[in-house]
Amino acid sequence: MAQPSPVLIEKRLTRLVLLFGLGALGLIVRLYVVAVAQSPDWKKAVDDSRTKVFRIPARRGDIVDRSGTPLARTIDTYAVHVRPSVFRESNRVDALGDCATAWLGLSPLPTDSRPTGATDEAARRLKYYHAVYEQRSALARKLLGLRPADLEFGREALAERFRGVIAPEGRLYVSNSGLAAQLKRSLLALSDRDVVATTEVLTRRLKSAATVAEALAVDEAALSSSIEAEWRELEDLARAIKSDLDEFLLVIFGGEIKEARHIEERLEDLIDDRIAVQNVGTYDFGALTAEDLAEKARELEVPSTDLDRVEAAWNALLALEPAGSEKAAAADRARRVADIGQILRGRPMARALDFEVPSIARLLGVWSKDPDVVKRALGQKVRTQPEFKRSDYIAPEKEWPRRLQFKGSYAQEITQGAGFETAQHVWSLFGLGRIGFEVEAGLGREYRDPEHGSASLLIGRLTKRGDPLGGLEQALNAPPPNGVGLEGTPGSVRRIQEIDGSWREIDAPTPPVHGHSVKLTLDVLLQEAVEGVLERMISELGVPGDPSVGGGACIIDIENGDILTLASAPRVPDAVYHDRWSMAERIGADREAARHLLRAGIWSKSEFEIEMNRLGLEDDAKYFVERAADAGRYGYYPPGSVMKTFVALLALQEGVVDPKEHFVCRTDKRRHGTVDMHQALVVSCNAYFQDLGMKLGTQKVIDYAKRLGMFTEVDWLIAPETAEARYRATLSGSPKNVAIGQESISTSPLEVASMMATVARRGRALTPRIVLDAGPDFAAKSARADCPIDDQRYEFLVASMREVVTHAAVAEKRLKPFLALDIAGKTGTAEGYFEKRHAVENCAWFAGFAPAAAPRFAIAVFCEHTNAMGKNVAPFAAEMIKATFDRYRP
Amino acid sequence: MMTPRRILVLSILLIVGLMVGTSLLVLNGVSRTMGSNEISTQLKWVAISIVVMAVFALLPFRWILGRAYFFYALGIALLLAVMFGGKSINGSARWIVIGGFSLQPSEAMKFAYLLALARVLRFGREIDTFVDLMKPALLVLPPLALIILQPNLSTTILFLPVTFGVLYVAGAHRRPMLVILSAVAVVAVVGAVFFLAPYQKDRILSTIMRDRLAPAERQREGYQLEQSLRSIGIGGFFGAGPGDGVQNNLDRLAFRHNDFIFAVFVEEFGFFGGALLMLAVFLLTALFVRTAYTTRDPAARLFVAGAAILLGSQSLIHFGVNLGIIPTTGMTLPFFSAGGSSLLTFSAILGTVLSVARRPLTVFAGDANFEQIERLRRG
Repeated sequence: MAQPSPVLIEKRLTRLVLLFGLGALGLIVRLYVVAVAQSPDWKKAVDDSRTKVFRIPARRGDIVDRSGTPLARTIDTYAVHVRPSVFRESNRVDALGDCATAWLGLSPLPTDSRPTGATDEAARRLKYYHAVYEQRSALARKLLGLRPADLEFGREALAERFRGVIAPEGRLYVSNSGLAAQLKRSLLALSDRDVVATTEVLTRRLKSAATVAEALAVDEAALSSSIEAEWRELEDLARAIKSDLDEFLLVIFGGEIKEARHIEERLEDLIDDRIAVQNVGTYDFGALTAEDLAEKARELEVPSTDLDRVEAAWNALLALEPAGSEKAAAADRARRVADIGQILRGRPMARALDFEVPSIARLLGVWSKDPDVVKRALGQKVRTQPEFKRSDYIAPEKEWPRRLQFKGSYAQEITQGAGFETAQHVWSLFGLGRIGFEVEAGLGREYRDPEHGSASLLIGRLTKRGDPLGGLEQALNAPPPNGVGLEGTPGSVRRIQEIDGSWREIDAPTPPVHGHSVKLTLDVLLQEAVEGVLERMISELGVPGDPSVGGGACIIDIENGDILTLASAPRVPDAVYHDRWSMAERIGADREAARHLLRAGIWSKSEFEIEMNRLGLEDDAKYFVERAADAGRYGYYPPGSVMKTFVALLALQEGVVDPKEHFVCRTDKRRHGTVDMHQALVVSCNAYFQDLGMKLGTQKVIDYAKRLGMFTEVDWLIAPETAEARYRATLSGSPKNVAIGQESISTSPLEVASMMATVARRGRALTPRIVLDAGPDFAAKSARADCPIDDQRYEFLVASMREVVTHAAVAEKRLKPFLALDIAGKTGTAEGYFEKRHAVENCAWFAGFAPAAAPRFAIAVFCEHTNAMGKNVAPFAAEMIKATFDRYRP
Repeated sequence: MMTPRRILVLSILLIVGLMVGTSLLVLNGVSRTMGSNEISTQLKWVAISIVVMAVFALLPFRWILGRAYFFYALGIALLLAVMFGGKSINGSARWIVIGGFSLQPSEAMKFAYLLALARVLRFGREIDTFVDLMKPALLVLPPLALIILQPNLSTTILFLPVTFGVLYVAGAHRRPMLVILSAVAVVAVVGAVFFLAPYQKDRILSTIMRDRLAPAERQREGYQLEQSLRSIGIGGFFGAGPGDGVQNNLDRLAFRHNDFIFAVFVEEFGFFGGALLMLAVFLLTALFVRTAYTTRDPAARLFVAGAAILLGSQSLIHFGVNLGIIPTTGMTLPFFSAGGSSLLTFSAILGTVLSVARRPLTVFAGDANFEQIERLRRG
């Protein structure tokens, strides 16, 4: 080997330089391409990435009553957001600070040293926080330099501080929440290993002396108290938005937790499904019949059929350990899972009955009989089956500390519709603590009397996102002609983010078009009075203690068709409105599904009926039914004898009967004897009107009812489709029943009141209206045709209806004081419509108008699920009329 | 008096000084936008580094070389220490904490390795058999193994050009070099297919296939690269000015104080500044090579050549990553990125190079004399 010649070396060095030169040249060319040639494209990409379209919300129109009292109005509210990255960065409270607090048991910052909100104070505080942050890293270095044995503190104090438990073996256990989680994280951060069991670290740290105080003799009192203060501010905030601190944190990281929960639930479903698949027969001893039990006893070779002994034998059999091979063990496990499946019969473990838990526990080899423990054990057992990956299963409480380390940068909403006070509080926190909170001004909705929910079903409510949910909010939402444009159109503005983080508008904003306000014909004071009477009536006449029993009332101004009151009871308070709504939606979907299963032949008729009955009960129990406007569509509010008023009118018009003609009542169970039309109306003789019905026919009766206002669209309240559907459904009824307002016929107080109003106007067309005014573009959609009634017949009818009231007052004493009001009305008691639940099954009505001499107001009231008759409803209706007269003296 | 030697030393110092000065200007803006105190930390490191550089520059090269194996052993010991008690940042254990400072032993190992390699190959005869390659191979394998276990693929890869470059300069024959190079290439490809973590594969693919990725995928897989290119792309010819970069201020680019500082620099100083920086780095490399020319000490020559290769290749990789022609990997830019370990290491290397540059010729027995060389060069 010879020394390489210097020439060679220099040649090679030169080549190296050339190589690097070429490389540098290539890179410069590439740099030119990216930074200069392609520059416009990149500029555009960057500009796009920092441009955002902001929505400018439109103010939703207010809804006011006829005198201008707001029923629903748009107000300013605030949404509170948190930016988890900032939140976590600052609140990582540098882990060590927490440790110092925990170890030294330092007291929190005294309250008087906290600033009161002036801006210079805020600045000072901010500076202070910075200083603290700086100190903390110095502290970190100090702590890291210590031997673990030096980090020592009182176990009891720690346990108390972090709500922990000291086990007999001397270990400290702390729960995984709040400050305890903070402590754990602190310890994890402090430990010199990446992964460490918390209890292990704790016990290690719990061993010796108190040198840490000296080691930390920096400004640690201020440091740790500031951390305390920050944490306490968080707690304050949690309280301000009415939330537990843990819950509040859960909201902040809700998305992540929700995802974890979702996975967990899906996995549980899988487990449940698996168990359900293996569902063959039953070993639910409690449910065995005597024969089955005897057979089981034979099978198990037990001499007795005593339930306990059979069960014991069965359990002993299960407890036998199979042969030791792995295959046998797997078979055993499968058998046990199958057995558990048989016990649970498709139910999740959470719904296992108390007496089933011990059996399941035995099958799982778990000693505890605590259902939660057994449930966890079941989950684990099934999860060890190969088809379930352990990693699929994420327990939120384990995910929690890990996810706290995740740096997200999108603001998450923690509360919407916060009041000014909360917003101000958060704002000051954001300014002082720099812990990632943001406040955004927005619009909210305020309703009259949210506590009772006055007219809530009529007005409707908004979802959290601002979408309408039922009632007039929904009906009037869209722009004309489908609504009145309550919602408005949001505007938008494009903004670009400047380098200081601020946003600059890059073109002229599109302004929002605010929604139209609506003036209703409703008189809210009258409405509230009527609602009060209605609820009193239900509590007196309905089923005591059953919130699902309800009623409805409607009062119409006969002169112009203004709907003064449209009351439905029970009222739904705002707090439960959304829950009930979604419940109602779900029940609707379940009903649809049941119908589908029946049609597809998957369910038998009896199965279908059981399900429908169940849903019916559930539905009733939730009392989320609007009973005043379009109640007819539910199909179970027949008008009963109130219908006779209109049938009598029709019969006179058609000339099928002479009103003086005598009729012998034989079939009516009340045996009225010989009656003419007047008497038939007064005593409400079914036989008489059934006879008339036979003479007229179903078609004529309901066509006439339709001309008077039944089965007819009412703007925003009764949709033409549902009215038409009811009309057609009623056609199938027999004339005998339709004439007395039963069987296929179903209506609502609004319809009956509008019919009464038409009658009181001697057949002159009357279009009931709920919207009085909604801006210049507003126009009523529907108008009705006349249905003339000649004077002689009208007088006859009014005389009869007056007599109905005086007749009712004989039996119903409470009606007497109201006789001076000169009410013309008709009672009605539809029977047998609520066979589902209660022995009491009448639907009792009173409808009419007053004063009979010169009619001003028409009224219809009903109470469902009652033993009472129409005449019992009459005094309440009279009370409502009195309230109306008090406000509008005729 | 300005001798060529003095000019050489001064120009090296001038270029490094300019680079460090500019880097502090950039880091000032970056540390403001990152809300951290990178700048003050870096200033401390610069101060320490100047001392280290001066010490190494004042020491005779022979003295430093005499302790090559000591440094090497120290480096290995530190790497082992990291392995068994290091601090993890971003998922790999690369740091060790000494007296409150975090250090990356793999950085320090670069210096120790260069020195040891120079010492092993200094009496290098012509390297033409595999046996001759055994010594450097034995030298390079332990640190490589320790660094790749951290895991720290980028630093590992950097050892390859340095080793081969120094062997090449030391006069290794082409054939064994080519055989080994192809073997390394095969191992690299196989390793890439079987042993790379998914994130590493994704990075490589997203660089190679960048133009074929859908925009959404680009955002996800190549987010860092996309942001780096955007930063460079909006720089234009003269840039936005120091501290005024949009990408920088809006916190779009991670690791912009170290591995992606070039992108920030171009955003704020434009193509003009970027090209100047590249030229400066090339010039520095060339000046190192020039230093290698001037010395007659074979060990010094090898060390300085190695330093040039290390500086050149690390810079090229940094530029390449930032410009999206090399898969994304964490590689600092010498004398520019924030980070104490890197700065300290390169200061030691620079000091040693200066120590070589400022000494007069040392002629050894058996070495050709100067006139001979001059004649040969001209002939």
